[in-house]
This record gives sequence, structure tokens and C-alpha cells, in this order.
Amino acid sequence: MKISISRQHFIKAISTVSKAITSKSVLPVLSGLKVEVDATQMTLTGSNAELTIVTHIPCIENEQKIIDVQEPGIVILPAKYVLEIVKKVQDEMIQLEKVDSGLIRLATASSEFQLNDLAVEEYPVIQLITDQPDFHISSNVLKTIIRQTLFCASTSESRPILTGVHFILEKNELLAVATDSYRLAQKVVPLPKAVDFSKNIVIPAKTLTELMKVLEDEEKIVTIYFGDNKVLFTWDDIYLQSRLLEGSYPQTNRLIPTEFHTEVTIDHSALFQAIDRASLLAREASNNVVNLNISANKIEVTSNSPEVGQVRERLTPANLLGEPLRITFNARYALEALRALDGDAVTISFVGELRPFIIRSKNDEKVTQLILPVHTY
Amino acid sequence: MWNKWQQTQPIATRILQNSLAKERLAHALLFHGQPLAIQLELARTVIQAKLCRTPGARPCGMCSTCQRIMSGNHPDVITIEADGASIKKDQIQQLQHDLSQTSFETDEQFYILVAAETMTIQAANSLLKFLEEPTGKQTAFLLVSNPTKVLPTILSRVQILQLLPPNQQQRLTEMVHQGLDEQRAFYANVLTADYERLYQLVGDEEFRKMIKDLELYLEQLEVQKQAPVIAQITIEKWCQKRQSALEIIALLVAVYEHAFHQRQQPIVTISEKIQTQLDRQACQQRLQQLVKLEKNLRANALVTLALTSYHIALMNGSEA
Repeated sequence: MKISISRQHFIKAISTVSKAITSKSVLPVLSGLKVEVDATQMTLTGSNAELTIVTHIPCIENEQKIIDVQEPGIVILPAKYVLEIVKKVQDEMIQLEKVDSGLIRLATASSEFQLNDLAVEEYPVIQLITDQPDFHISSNVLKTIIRQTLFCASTSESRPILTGVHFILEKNELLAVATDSYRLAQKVVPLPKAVDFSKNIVIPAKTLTELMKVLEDEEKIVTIYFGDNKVLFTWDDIYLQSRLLEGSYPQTNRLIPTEFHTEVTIDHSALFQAIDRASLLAREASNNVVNLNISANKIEVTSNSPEVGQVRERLTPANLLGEPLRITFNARYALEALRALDGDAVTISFVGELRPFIIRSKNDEKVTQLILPVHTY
Repeated sequence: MWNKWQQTQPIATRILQNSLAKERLAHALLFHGQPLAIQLELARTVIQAKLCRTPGARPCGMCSTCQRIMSGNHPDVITIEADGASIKKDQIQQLQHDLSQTSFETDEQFYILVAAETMTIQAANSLLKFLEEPTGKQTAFLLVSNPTKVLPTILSRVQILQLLPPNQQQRLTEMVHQGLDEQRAFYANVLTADYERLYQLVGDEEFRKMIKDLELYLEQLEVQKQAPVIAQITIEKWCQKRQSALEIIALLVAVYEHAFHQRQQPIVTISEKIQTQLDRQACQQRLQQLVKLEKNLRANALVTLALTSYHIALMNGSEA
């Protein structure tokens, strides 16, 4: 291989794919970044065996020559160093050449690096699943889905399936659910165009975290391919493919109650701040547990940590329906759920003291946050 | 690829090949009886046979898939080796995490636990959980040097394949091949059939001292022709316990045998010296006395007494 390439384009592509590369990879060869050049484009691949990011740089863009290919070929560059190198060298163009003896020469007009080549034949075969059924979604919508559900995914490996987010695609609706069995978040997204297939997959939390990092702020149309054991997100020239979690996700639709005994509508930030303050004392002492007392026309958030002290917060509900109730729950779960909701007012619906309750934004019924109360004695 | 195994491990190879041909490979296999490096190679060969897509006899050993499996660079084959002295719980948890995801390149996954008996109790218990109920298509290989140290609950969930131990001569050549000291390897080889202990012995300082004293003793006795009861003092401190006395006898037998057959290979310096001093008949006489001594020791004779009577017999023998 022998090419010269515009430094700016090279930096951008390398920093994108290096997000998939981890320093302590299971396979030594995956610490490398695969660069493949043919007559029309350069393909860069980074992977950590779970997540793979592929991107392309065209040789000619807007009638401007970006890559000058003298000889096509494949090399594996040490990812740890190559990004630093291309960031720090000065000139506009970088030459990349494979020298016979397993060395790669990376040079500009003034600097020259000789890097050891990792064995190309050891690199895994990565097939992008572009032949699988796909649908399109706006990157902003996708980000919102992830932001509103991902935090509920379990971090414990005792039930691996719960460490992901369950995506169910059916007709004209996309449903995303995450739960760690103490709380649950569900988001329903209507699709502009109905799909002619139905599929449900569980995407690992780590993949979605990385996806959030790689997705730029600018709104893009993301195409998602749902395969049997992989998922592929693609936009512009970036392809992000991940393995899925194996196994069957628990049935969650039955968990969300539909009939309630008590319903409260309340200002979002007032409630958030009240719970936040009430949990100040509880955070250290006990399990971060706070109480919510709902009586005829007032609401109180209290917490009692015998070693530290007590706290009482009064709130005025905008609207209160149903019976009085006293319920205990983990403040962190409630705060995280509230943070994931948009809008000025929220509705909290209760079934009973020991039954899960749900929080929804008043003007967005598509997101449901469900929390299990704590049993106290 | 299988040819090599057919020669060294005909039984295990037949079992594995048959179950591969019938697509009925057990979901978990345990190998023992050979050094771990050889077991690892066999496990990887089985995985190659499953994943190689080259037409003809599988595995081909040449294609990219085969090569990546052998070099440990295949994303669907996870190899776990002891972190320090044992396989820890978080290694097994990481494995569980990897296995809870769908495979990367193929549609099945494999994992190899090298020295599986070194798993901590917690690690073994974590393993049991998914050894029992794999979530997808997964095959486990447990490579073990001592199967009695593996939890019975694990043993009962795997197919156990005992590999044939290598013969002594072959083993010796192999050890020398790996750059171990030939003479020390020769002595260590007499004392144990267990590979791990063998390597341990060769590197052991005490063992080195014992060999040194043993050679000095033979030198005094056979070359310098000192009185046997005097030479005996050199060796006595290694014969305090019955077990170690028996080991010394085994070593002496090996050296005299080496001298008796006038072997040149492996090179054992002291045996060569003895060969110049003693004729075959004298060697034979030593061997007969040693057999008698061993018999006495096994019959609970007092160690020092038996040793002295052996040396007195030698004295009488040489006079006669």
C-alpha cells in the first residue's frame, strides 16, 4: 500500500473508529485499526469484538482530491499511537506506505514514523449486515430514546439479559424498554412510515452509550438494520455494528398498571428539588429511601435517618385525584426517572402502597417511568 | 491436522472425530493427562474442525479461520488463563458477559479454561451457573492437569476425555527440546509422571542439591573407590524419611540401569564415569542389591539400618 491523504479527513475518521477500540482487548489484533484502500475510497475499521465502527473516506470529494492512491492495500495500524501521531504532525498531507519488512511508514514533509504492522490476516472478518431489514429514524429521536431508557438497564451481570435495552419494532411503532427489576423505563415512538416486518432485539447498554458519543449534535437520518444476532446503525459514512444480548427478555407489558387509585399532577422541578433535598440525609445513612405522603390536599416528602436527622418537604399539587396514600421509595430512582422526563409538569399514578407507581410527563404520554416502592417496617 | 493426533492420541481422536461427524459434540469437554499446552492445541483443533469452512478434510489448518483460532485471535473463541495462581471470579464474570452476547463472526461461541482446576471456589460456582444453562450455542473446554481437584459438580456436567500420557523417552526429548537441562530432566523424569511436578522439580533448588549429593556419592563410591559405608554418609541426609529414601533408590536404579545398558543418550555424566569403572556384571549386582533394599524399605525396615546393610553387601560383593 502506498497513499497520501489529507490530514484533516484522516484525523476525523480515525477519531471516529477509535471509539470502538479498547486498550485491553480480548484479541491482541483488535488493538489495531484496520485501514483498507482501494481505487475509490479508504475504509477504516475499529472493533473491540463487541462493537465495530466502520467509516469511509472517498478518494475524491467535491471534485477535490483527498486521497492519492499510488498502490491499494490493507494495513493494521496501532490505534493507541496513530491518532496522537496524526494529530501532532504538522503538514496538510500524510503519506502512508507499507514497507516490505512488516513496517508501515507514516510520513509528512518533515516527520517520519516507522510503525510495526500487526498481522492483517489475524484481523477478524467483519460482515456489515446491510442485507437485513432496516428502517429510518432521526438521530435526535434516537438519542432521546436512549437518554430516557438506558439508565434503567441493569449493571449487574447476574441476569445478563437485563444489561441491555429491549427494542421491539412492529408495524408503525418502535418500543424501547429497559429495566433492572427495581424500576423500568419504556418509550413508545410512532414511526412516520410503517415497516413490513416485526422484530425484537436486546442491544447491550455499552453499545448505546458509545452510540450516543459517536452521534453528532447535528440532526441526521439514521438507518437501523435489525439482524438476528447483530444490529447496525448507519448515517453519513459511519457504520456502527454491535452484537446483541442473547436470551429472551422478560415480558414487561404486563408490569405497567393501567388502573390507579391515586393520581397526582405536580410541578416537575419542584418535585425534583424536594426529593433531592429530602434525600440529602438519607443518601449516606440508609438505602437512600424517602417517603411520600399524600393526604387530602397536600403532599409531603419526608425522610428519617435516625443517626443524622429528619427532613420534611411540603409540596402543593396542581391536581390530586383519589385516595390518600403513603409510599416509600428509593430517591435515586425517582430523581433519575424525573431527569429523563421533559416538560413542566409530571403525573404520578399509584395503585397502592406496595404496588409499583408510574411517572409520566403531563404533555408526553409516550414515556413511562415505573418504580417499585421499598417495603419498610 | 488430525493425523498428528491420530498417532499420539488415537482413542481421544476417534471419540472427538466421531462426535464431530455426527454433530454431537458435548457442550462441555474436560481434557486431562497431557501438559496444558498440548491440551490447548487439541481443544483448538476441535474448534477449527467446527469452524473451518474449507472443503475437504477439516480442519485444513491453513485458512484464515484456522490460523486465527490457533493463534488465539478468533473473536468467537475465548481463552481464559489463570490470573496469577488461580482463575478468579471476575474472569469468569467477564466470560459470562462475553457469552451473554451473540457471537461476533460465526454463529457459535467457544471458551477454553486453561488449568481449570485452579479456579477459586467462587469462580467455579459462577461457572456452574452458565455451564448448566448456556444461553446460546456454546461449547466449553476445560483443560486440567489434575482432575481430582475439580469440583464434583463441574465434573458431573462435562464429558471427560483422558489423554494418553506421553512415554518417558518421548517426554524427555520434549523437555530437552524446551530448553531444560538434560541431566536434571533425566532425574526428574524418574520421579514423576506428572508434567507440572516435573517442571517444578527441574527448577527446584532442593532437588538440584539432592542430585549434586547423589552424583558426589556415586563418584566417591564407584570412581574414587571409597569404602561404601563411608560414601553412605554423603547420601544419608537425603534418606531421613522413607519416602525420600525410596526416591533416592529410584534414582540410583535409573543411573545403574543407564550404565548397565551402556546408553549414550541421554547424556548422564556420572553414568559414563561408572561405565568406565564397572563392568556389566558389577552393575547388575548393584541393581540386585538395590531391589533388595527397596523391598526391605517397603517392608518397613528401619531406613538407616537397611541402608547400611546395603552398603555392607556392596563391600562384601566387591571383595568377593
